[in-house]
Amino acid sequence: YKLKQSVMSSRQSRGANSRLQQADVSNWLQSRQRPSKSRAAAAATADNLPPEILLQIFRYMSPRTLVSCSLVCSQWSDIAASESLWRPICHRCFPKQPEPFGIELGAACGVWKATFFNRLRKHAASRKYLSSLSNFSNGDFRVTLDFIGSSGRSLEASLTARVRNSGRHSSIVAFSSSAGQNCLPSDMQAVSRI
Amino acid sequence: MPGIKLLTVDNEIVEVDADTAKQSLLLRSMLHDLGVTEIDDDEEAISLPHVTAAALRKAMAWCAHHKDDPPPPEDDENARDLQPQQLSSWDAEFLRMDQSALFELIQAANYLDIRGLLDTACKAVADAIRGRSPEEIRKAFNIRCDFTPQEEEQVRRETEWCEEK
Repeated sequence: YKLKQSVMSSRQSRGANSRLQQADVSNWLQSRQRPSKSRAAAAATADNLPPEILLQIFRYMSPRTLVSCSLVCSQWSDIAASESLWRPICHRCFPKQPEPFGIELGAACGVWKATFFNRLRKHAASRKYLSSLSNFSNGDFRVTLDFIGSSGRSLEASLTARVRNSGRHSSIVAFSSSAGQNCLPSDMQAVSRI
Repeated sequence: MPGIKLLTVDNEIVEVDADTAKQSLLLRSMLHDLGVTEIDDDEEAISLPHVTAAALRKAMAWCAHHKDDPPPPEDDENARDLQPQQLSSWDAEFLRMDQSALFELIQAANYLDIRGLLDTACKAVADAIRGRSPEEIRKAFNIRCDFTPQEEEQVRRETEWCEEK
């Protein structure tokens, strides 16, 4: 608290020493378990920005900036994993997808944060897969796929893909498995070979 | 205009316009409860244990400029996130201050419950962080990285970005 007192007195004498204050910011950020009582008793200096304000700041960030923030320190990481941040991001980026379930619920980090990254990986994999098919013509193709199933295990499946070529690019219209079930390309997480 | 006296944490008495002060939901309810209508030299100043004089003056200046703003929309996280609005040039200029002063202002806005100012100032901090690497953020905020290598690796794995290569 000596440091804080010196900050206070320097401020009162109108000679605020920003170096000291910055050191104090980091002190606060490191002392994650400081009880809120002492925070309440302290003056409103920059060293006691409460977690709820950090959360408020994080609400204005893109997923990519949040990722940078979650790698700053463990406190930022915890706050940047908050459900209230990732739920709207998921809804915005993947508006048509259902509420999370399965592996996403059992994830180590927040459910919605895990959901976002699962969906992002799926999305990237299916995009990559579709672009690899861009030279196919109309018709049905036999494909063998490696999935990462929702349990996290690798699964192999043999499917028929129906491809439509619009003249400029090809896209997969539908998949059907030998059992006759249909699925959409976006259900795929990782595709290793055709 | 009636004024009210506020005693800040750094023991300064700041006189503010009552109408402006009422944009703070905390002050509004305090004034209501106390039945304060006009300034009285004998009136004791209202004590604000979390607000510095500098932050209070700044906050009141913001309120005075924004006194005719429509009330902020209900706190709907989805709606709010869908409409990321640029700071107005007045706000951007207003918030140009050093980091500790900005944090102080944010805390004052939080304590006084001035939603518009809190939103605006938080947005300014978020803007300042955008595009920076974790190391750059640590430097800017003077934060020590307290991750063990395993923890850091785990966060990295969880947030691995899927770039199209």
